[in-house]
Order: sequence, then structure tokens, then C-alpha cells
Amino acid sequence: MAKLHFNALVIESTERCNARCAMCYQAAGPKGSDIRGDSELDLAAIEHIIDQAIKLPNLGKRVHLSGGETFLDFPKALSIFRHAKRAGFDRIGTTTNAFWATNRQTAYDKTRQLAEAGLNYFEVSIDYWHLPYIKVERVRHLLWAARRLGITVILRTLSTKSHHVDEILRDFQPCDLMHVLIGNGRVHPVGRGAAPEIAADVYPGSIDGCCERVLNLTISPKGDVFPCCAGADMTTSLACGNTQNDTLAEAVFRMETDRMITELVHRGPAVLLPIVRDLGYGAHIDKEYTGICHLCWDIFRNDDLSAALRAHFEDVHFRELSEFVTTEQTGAEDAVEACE
Amino acid sequence: MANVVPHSTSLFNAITLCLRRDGVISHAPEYGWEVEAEKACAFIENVGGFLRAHAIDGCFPSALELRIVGAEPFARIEDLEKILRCGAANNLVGHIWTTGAWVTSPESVHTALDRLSGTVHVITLRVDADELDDVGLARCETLLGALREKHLGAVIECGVRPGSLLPLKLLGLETINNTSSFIRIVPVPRQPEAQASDSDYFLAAPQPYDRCAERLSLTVLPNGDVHPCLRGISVDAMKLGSLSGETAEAILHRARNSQPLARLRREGPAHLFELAQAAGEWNAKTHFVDSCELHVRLLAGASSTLPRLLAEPQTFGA
Repeated sequence: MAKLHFNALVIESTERCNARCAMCYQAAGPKGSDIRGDSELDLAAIEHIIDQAIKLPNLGKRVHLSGGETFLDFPKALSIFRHAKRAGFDRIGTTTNAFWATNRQTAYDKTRQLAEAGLNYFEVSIDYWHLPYIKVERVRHLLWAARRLGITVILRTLSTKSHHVDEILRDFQPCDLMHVLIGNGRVHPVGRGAAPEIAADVYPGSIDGCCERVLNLTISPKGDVFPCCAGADMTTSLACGNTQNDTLAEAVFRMETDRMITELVHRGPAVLLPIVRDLGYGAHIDKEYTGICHLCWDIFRNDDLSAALRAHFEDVHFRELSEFVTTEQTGAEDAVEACE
Repeated sequence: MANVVPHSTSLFNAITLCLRRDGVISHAPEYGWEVEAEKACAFIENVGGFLRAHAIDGCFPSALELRIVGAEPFARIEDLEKILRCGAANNLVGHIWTTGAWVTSPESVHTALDRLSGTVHVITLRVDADELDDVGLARCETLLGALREKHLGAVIECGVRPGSLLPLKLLGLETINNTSSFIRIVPVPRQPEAQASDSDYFLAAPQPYDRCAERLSLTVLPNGDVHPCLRGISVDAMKLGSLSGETAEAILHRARNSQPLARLRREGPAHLFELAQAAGEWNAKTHFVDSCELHVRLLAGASSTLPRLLAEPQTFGA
């Protein structure tokens, strides 16, 4: 059994977001997700998850709180960071759109509270599609405060063919971005981003490669447990347990012993393509993809296809076990004969 | 995979090999290397011996990067190849900082990268926002395009100084936008006498939560001296030891047990500022751009009492 290694625990605390961005892969909005509905993990559940996660040997000591927009409930976020720090997590961070950084002083005061609670990095989302909901000034306020307090910032931007990162950053000064890592990515046509007007504008990408080194143990607002937060969490078929019924260790064990998931993680989703075609779903995958996350989501969002793939890998597993048993048996009989 | 040590828990994030003592990528290609390939390889073997023995848990993450900085690494491609091959033989993955000055055509990049195939996984291109003209942009595009073709990682470090403009042309490049890209805005190292003309560029107070955890790297200078980070290589008080006269294991044992280093990792250098201020050793008009600059200024301070005051808690060496 190949061990999976997770860089971080990702807790998606809520489906709700103050923004309703046109490219959002989670399709989040003020009333929850258009796809996953309106769920939320309560504080006690999150604390229990953190307490279990710190004991997992193959999980990095990093916890990341995301949503939706997790700062819709600021006191709860503070409590989660405090708990994660007490539990022993060393890197504690969050994703936010900075809506709460209404001015420099507020941004400073709130960031200071977060830092006291244990937070040491922000991932701040800003791109063309956030603009109808979030003023650039609020992001600048947050960057100003984070720099003065010494909190690391990764600015998460997104591009399509029509909207490049310079468009969004032209209102920033270099000093706003001092030591900030701008992590720009392509929009993936996942969730609300799968709408035709967005999907037609995305950059295609390579579907080679696998994700074994970029896994994050992800808990959705419903409590479902996934091996990553980059699209798998927007499927139902890749859920490997639920925190209401299973321990995290059980969910991880299920991932590590699920042949379909281990193939996906260690060899990449492209190895599934011939199987998908053999199973009669060729038309479903006859398109351009933006990358392995998009391909993975596209395969596993289809529950019928997922079920067929799972049955295929169970067959493979059964055949391999049969062959192993037969070989062992033959070997044992040969050994008995040799002794006689 | 059971032995994976994530970056979030290890003491050092990487091993950094400086080809020149200034440690920073030079934009002037005439600044040569100060270390011979054979000597650099001996340093790497020394650390590799420690890694093979797994003598102290938690010092390094896996996979472990060998960062190569200083001068222009590609100026001596044969030596660079030797060093990277030595790194690979010691299970280190190569990450090179370059000015890109050697990029003259797509063919030149492919030829160089083919030579280093299998030994390097990321290249950081260091550019200066104020000097980024059309030629520089074309160079960026050529290098990034080749790195992507070869499935190698790419990071751009863009240096800015007071009054610099954001490099919007760079950020608008097709090759930046059509796939995942990482661009870090960093301060250009300045002369000590530079004035604080841009109040938002400089900081007036220390960053209280800026810990060093993400910056610590076992940094080896051309003479074998070892420091815990690249920005601290000019400060003798931060020296951990020397690979010229000691084993990596001895140095790492010392680092692992160093309370001052543990405190820096956990809290950063802000507490030293408080010490200096309490001793009346800090000029309120002195500005700095980040915690590292503050730290170096505190430790390299020429005043009479400050070095003595700071020496004890800051001396990592034996």
C-alpha cells in the first residue's frame, strides 16, 4: 500500500461567500454554493478535525482555512486559528478576498488579532471576476497591514485569454507588493467557471503529470473528506468518508487502499483516459482541458462514469489478487513436491 | 513516502550554495564565481554524508533543494553541471538563481537546459523592474517558454527600489498568463546611506510576527562558512560553522540545539530591536525595508555597546 503524503489540512468552513464571482470553481455565493448547497462546519466539528489531523503521521503541520469566505464569521476564524496553534500546527493560513479590510486601521487591527491567534500567512484572492464584489483598495489595505505585521501574503490571481494579471495589478504600487508572491493561475472551467462564456476564454494546458506531491487533506463544509482542494472537492465520487461518521485516519486509509484513487494520485488522471473510452464514455472526455485538475474534475463529476471506473478497478484488483494467490499456491505445491 | 519531512516542520528549508560571498545574483556578468566546482562538490558531499546517515531528524524537509545563487551560475556551465550532478548524486534537487544574461536565443536555452537535464527542477529569474526593457522582456519570454516546454518550474524575482514602477509589461506577457506563474516582488539591495524617500517603501517599526521559519536555509559560502540564511551571510555573529573544517553533522547538531536560532525561526528578529531600543542604541530615523535588513543592521551596528549586547543571544557558532 503506497502511503499518501498531504502537505496540509484544508478546512472549507462554509459554502457562503459575500461575492458571487463568475469563475468560482466552488460556485460560492451569499446563499451558499450553486452546486454543493448551503452547509457549514461548526466550531466544535472543526476543532475535532484539527485534533485528529495533528496526529496523522503523513500530514504536514500546516492548516489552511478557506471557504467560501471564511471571514464572514471572524470570531469563529479566530477560534479556529487559536485551536490549530494550540494543537501544534506550525503553518497556519487562510484564503480571503479581503472584504473585511475596509481601511488601513481596521485591516491592521484585525490582522494583528489573527496573528496573535496563530495565523502566519494569507492567500488573498483578487482577479477580474472579483472586481464587481471587492474593491481593489481593500486588498491594498490588507497588504499594507500584513507587511507591517510580518504576515506572509500570496496574492492569488487568475487569467484567461482576455483578462491578464497586469489588468488587475495596475492600481497597485510596488511597495504594496513587497515580498508578496503573486501566484497566477489559469481559470479552470469548473463550477461556475464552466459557463460557456468563461469556458470559451480559458487557456488550454497539459494533462500530463500527477498530483502525488501536491495533495491536501480537504474537508468540505458538509464534512466530506477529499485528497485535494483543487476540484476533487467539487465531486461526490471522490469523497473518502465524512467527519460525522468516520475518523480522519479511516478516511485516509480508504484513500490509500482505493485503487482508483491511488492510480489517479500516483499516475495522474490522463492514465484513465483509455479506460474511460473503453467503458463507453469517450464522448464525455472529447474536449480540451486546462490541466490535470480540470480533467480530474470532469471525469469524477459524472457519477455514472465514476461508478464504472470504480467497478473497473475493483475487477483489476480482484484479478491481481487471484493471480497472486494462484502463483503463491503453485509455488507452495512445487515446494512440497520438491521436498517429497 | 514514510520519511517525508514537510517544510512546515524542518529547521532549514533548503541548502543554499553561494558562488560568490555577496550571495546575491549579480547583474554584472564580470563578477565571477569565487568557488571552484571541486570545492563546491566537496561541501555538497559533506552535507550528503549527513543526509545519508539521517543523523538528526527534522533538520531538512524532503525533497531537499540545492539552491545555487551568486554571480551568474550559467557563466560556467561545465562547473554548474558538475555541481548539480554532485547534488543529484546526494539526492538534492537543483534550483538555480539566474540573471538570464546568457539567454540569447531559444536554442541557447535548450542547449543549456539539456546539459542540466535531470539535475535541476526550478529556475528563478532575477530581474530589476527599473532595467526591464524590451530586450529583457524578450529574454524572460524565451527562458520561461523553454522551461515550460521542459516541464521545469519557473519563478521570477523582480527587484524594486523607492520610486520603481510595477513591471506591468512583464505581468501582461502571454507566457506569464497562459499557465501557472510565480512572481515575487523583492527589494533591490541598497547602499546603507540611501535615504528613506518613499515612506511606504520603508518600514519604521519592526514586523512583530515576521518569523524566519520560511527563510532559513543551510547557506554555504565559497570558503565553506555556513550561515542559517542568505541575508545573514555578511554578519559573522550569524555564522554556524565551516564545512572547510567541520562535518555537516557537527554544524547541524549545533544549529538544532541553538536557542537563538529556534527563537528566530519562531519569532523573527523583532525582539532584538526591542533590546536595542531599550539600550538607546536605535536611531528612530533609521528606516529598513524588511525584517532581514533590520536584523543585519542591528547585528552589524558599529556602535560600542550594541554588538556586545547582541553577541550573546545571536552567536550560533560554538
